Amino acid sequence: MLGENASLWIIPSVDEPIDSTSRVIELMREQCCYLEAETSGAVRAKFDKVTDISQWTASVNAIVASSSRVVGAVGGINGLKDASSLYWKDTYGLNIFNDEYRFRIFEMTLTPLYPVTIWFDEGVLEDTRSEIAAIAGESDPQGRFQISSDDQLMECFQAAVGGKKVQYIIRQMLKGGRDVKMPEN
Amino acid sequence: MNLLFWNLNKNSVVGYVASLLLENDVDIAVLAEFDRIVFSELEAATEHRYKLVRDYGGCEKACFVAKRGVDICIPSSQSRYALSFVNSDDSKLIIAGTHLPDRRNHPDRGSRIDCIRRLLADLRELAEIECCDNLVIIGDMNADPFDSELLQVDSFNAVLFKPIIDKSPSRIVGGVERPFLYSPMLSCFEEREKACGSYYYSDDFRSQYWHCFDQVIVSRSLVRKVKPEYLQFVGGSSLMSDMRPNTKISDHLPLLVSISKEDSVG
Repeated sequence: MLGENASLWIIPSVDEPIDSTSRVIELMREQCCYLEAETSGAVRAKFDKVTDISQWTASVNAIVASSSRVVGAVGGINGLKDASSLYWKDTYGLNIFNDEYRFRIFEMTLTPLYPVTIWFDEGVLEDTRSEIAAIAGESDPQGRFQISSDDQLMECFQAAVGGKKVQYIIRQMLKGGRDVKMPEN
Repeated sequence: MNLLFWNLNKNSVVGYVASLLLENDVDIAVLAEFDRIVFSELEAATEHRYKLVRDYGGCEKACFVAKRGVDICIPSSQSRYALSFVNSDDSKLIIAGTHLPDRRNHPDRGSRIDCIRRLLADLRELAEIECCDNLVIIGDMNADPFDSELLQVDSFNAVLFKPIIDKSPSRIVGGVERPFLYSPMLSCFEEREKACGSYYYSDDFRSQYWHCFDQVIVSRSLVRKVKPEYLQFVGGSSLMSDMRPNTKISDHLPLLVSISKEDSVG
């Protein structure tokens, strides 16, 4: 039983938490560089923020954030930054592209801590569903997976880029789009 | 410019497609469920007046066929949609061809809305890059013109009546400005002889029987230039059988869309 005046605070260590996603962008961008290097620049990749998809949700968040700033002012802590913005949430996408064409392999919502949610292009997922489910567990009905670590993320990445569809597209990009036939459905 | 959309129900109907293209002087066609179309045969059947537009393989659900000489490319595609950029002498056009998730396997409309939001994000990004505000989205939406997929503000945000989009290009909801699109499809949803939509099915307890799943929607700049029509005949043959689309040809009727250079629709 807790004493009447016992502190209920749990003070975390200032060390990087084990479930931090701080390396995700670096890891992904490293893979983007590998693709460019290994294809002599014929196929490139970019891991970047996806714009506009959750505009509506973003607006709701903006309203909530502005409300919390007002409450803060009433409490007499004017001038301080709103700490809620430290726990950010962004949508990132991994695109492969050349001078003519772009294809997005997957998107993910990135927060400072795992788990993060990832969803793949439908065709990519069709090719690799069993492998990805073996790594990350079953998806929700919308085909979204929960990823719990850098290792899991990189294993899913490897499964996706090794799948039939991504390999087909990279091959076509390497050929500069010549003699392209539609993939079998 | 004449556009055609047709869901082919995975049938081998090269002859019908070729006839439709030639008879209607189609410039650009988008096909869905085209699994049994051999494109070399289609090109030959049109005496090589049409060609498959090169894609890199991103989209499995829709493909583009264009009249030779039309300057068209596909700069971006995902499984459910492909975005094409058309550059003609007097105008630029971005056309998204799509086949959204079906109702049987995806009864929750969230799957379709999810896909629509990504399509719109990619479409707007391409529109910014190309400085083009002539936007066309054409395909099998697996939703009727008055369903949430079309009307909801965080989905297509399409309006069905010209005076509304005439008055304002957008609406503000939750502090965010959402641009309107325009759906001219109500003009195709009417009591006519035989076909009263593009797709027919009946549910057990409540049914409207005819649906307008095959649709075109456009940006504000094209509101008075766009005119859609479902076709019931090709090469003198009816596409109907027993008061519904002949499933041996396709369970959907083709959608022909004319886009005029000048405002022509009242």
